[in-house]
Amino acid sequence: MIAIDIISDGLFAAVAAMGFGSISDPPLRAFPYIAILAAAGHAARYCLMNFLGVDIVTASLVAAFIIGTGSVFFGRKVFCPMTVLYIPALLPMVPGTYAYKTVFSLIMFFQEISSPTKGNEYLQEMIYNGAVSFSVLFMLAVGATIPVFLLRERANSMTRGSKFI
Amino acid sequence: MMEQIFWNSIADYNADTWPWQIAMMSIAAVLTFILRFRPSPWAKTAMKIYMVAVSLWIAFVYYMGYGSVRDYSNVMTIFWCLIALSWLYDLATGFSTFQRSGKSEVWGIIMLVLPLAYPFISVSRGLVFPQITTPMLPSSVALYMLGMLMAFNKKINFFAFLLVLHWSVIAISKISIFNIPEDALLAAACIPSMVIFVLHALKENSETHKPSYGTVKMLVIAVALVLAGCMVAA
Amino acid sequence: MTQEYIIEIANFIARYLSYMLGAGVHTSRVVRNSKRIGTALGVDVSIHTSQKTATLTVSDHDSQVFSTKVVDIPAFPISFEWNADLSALSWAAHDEKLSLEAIEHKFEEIISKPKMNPVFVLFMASLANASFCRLFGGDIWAMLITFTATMVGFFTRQHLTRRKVNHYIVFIVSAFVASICASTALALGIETAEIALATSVLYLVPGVPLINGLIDITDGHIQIGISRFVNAFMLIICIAIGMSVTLMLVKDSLL
Repeated sequence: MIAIDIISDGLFAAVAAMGFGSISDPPLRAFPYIAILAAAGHAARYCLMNFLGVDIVTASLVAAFIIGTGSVFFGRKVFCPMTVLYIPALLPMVPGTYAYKTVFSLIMFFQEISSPTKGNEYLQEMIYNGAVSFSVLFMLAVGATIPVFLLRERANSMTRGSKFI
Repeated sequence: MMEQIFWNSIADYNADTWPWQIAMMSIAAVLTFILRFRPSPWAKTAMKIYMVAVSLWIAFVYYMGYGSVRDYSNVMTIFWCLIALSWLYDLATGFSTFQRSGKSEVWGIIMLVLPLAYPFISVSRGLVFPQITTPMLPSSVALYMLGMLMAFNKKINFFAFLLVLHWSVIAISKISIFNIPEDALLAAACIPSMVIFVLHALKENSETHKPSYGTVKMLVIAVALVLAGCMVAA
Repeated sequence: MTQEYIIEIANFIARYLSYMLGAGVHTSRVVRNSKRIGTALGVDVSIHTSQKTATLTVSDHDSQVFSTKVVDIPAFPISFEWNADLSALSWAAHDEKLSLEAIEHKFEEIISKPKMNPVFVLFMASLANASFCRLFGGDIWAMLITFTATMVGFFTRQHLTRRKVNHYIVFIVSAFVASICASTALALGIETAEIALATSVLYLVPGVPLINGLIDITDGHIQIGISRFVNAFMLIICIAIGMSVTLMLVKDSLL
């Protein structure tokens, strides 16, 4: 049962990554690797959050690191820079709901501005949502960039000798 | 409980408005025949005006008037206003032409006839007037729109198509929730029409765009099969 | 090297980097690639970038000849294919010692490659949003409703963008349309209607510019990183506005 949950999580994350990625016009040869990376990363985050009780920020960092490392190896195969593979793969983890809820709490705060208790609650909620969304996004970017810092030479010559131009 | 409220509101609606319903249906029938056999620009405009009118009818008379006892009926009013807006936009820009392309016309004609089957199915299920489904209920109107789009599919109003498609998905979930098996007709019609329209739109762009038409065709059909499987299972 | 040749090189590299920046490539890669092409042609390139314009100086170390140019960055849709292939072009120029004409020729070839079929993108984005709904715990009805609601919303976005409507208005309108379509799930009384409503607008979230902005910041291009981030955040505000109109109409409360 747990295995099915993990697999289906990875599967749907892969579809989500390919779909949201296709908006940004990736090369067709990159699609399978985007799917694999997204599935691995999202499933890893799911496991960390649900079975090990890790918080969403740390779990995102680990998942992004997995995706970034994977993109170093796959990028060489299809002659794509790392970002072409890891940005679409990270898209299912972008904290969209937290981001717009930040704005919602702000609007609700204005509406309840005269009531001291409710106004406070919404302000608190805004800071909570804003902090989570920014930290998760930041950790996604950092986690995926760490492999670039570690493997400078290899990471910056992904497209060398490309057969696709 | 919800099911009871639902069927009662349909009964009230039919009992009060049946002469109007018949009038609207005959206008629709006349316009359809004119467009089919004597197409002319004024008939095209008249059809679009009729579409706007019928959407607003559903929005205000059905949902705002008789459906207001249900939860969130105002959402449905807004949604049908959106459909009216899509036809109004089409009327203003003159985008769709209601011309026949000769392709998949049989499907279109079947779908145009299907709304008339609604009351018969209800009667055969043992329901009595006024508590029956009629061709002027939202789902049968949606089916009629789908039929019009399909029968005159040279250049279609894609907004209206997508909105009607969305409506059919809602109708599918209604089958089990409100016990209204008549909507299975709409459900059965919406998937082939989705495949046909999406593939047609894909083909228009496939010369100058990636990926190739063949691959995408497989994907669309596969998704449609999965959707159909889900519906049968549910 | 003559002044004319230097100007020619500057013109080409200006075009190259403006296309890359416009197509949403992170800054450090653009700078690195442009310098690599410069090295291949035997010149030094220095670049200053900002959100809307970029400045570059191309100079020859022996003859003291140089040329400076300020270019506007055109607003292209994001393209990862350009990112990959234009990067490969810089390596090809470096490794094969291509002439300027050869590089220009290949550049034209790359930028005229076919784009994604918009209907395919529409279909894929809807599928993606439906599976996103599943990740948030939606059931099959919520997924189906999200699928078609996204189709309507995304088609609105594509249509308005093609008509060159201001992109903030595009985001507000398509967020409103998608969420009003998804809110019809509430009328059905299914438990997961809230999830369908919450995920229906997520296809609009500008994930790529957000991540790009943060990558720029971690790479040390902090100014352009922040401006990209703020730009993307403006779009999120627009999404929230469009969706809050729906929520106010339907539920009278946002949270």
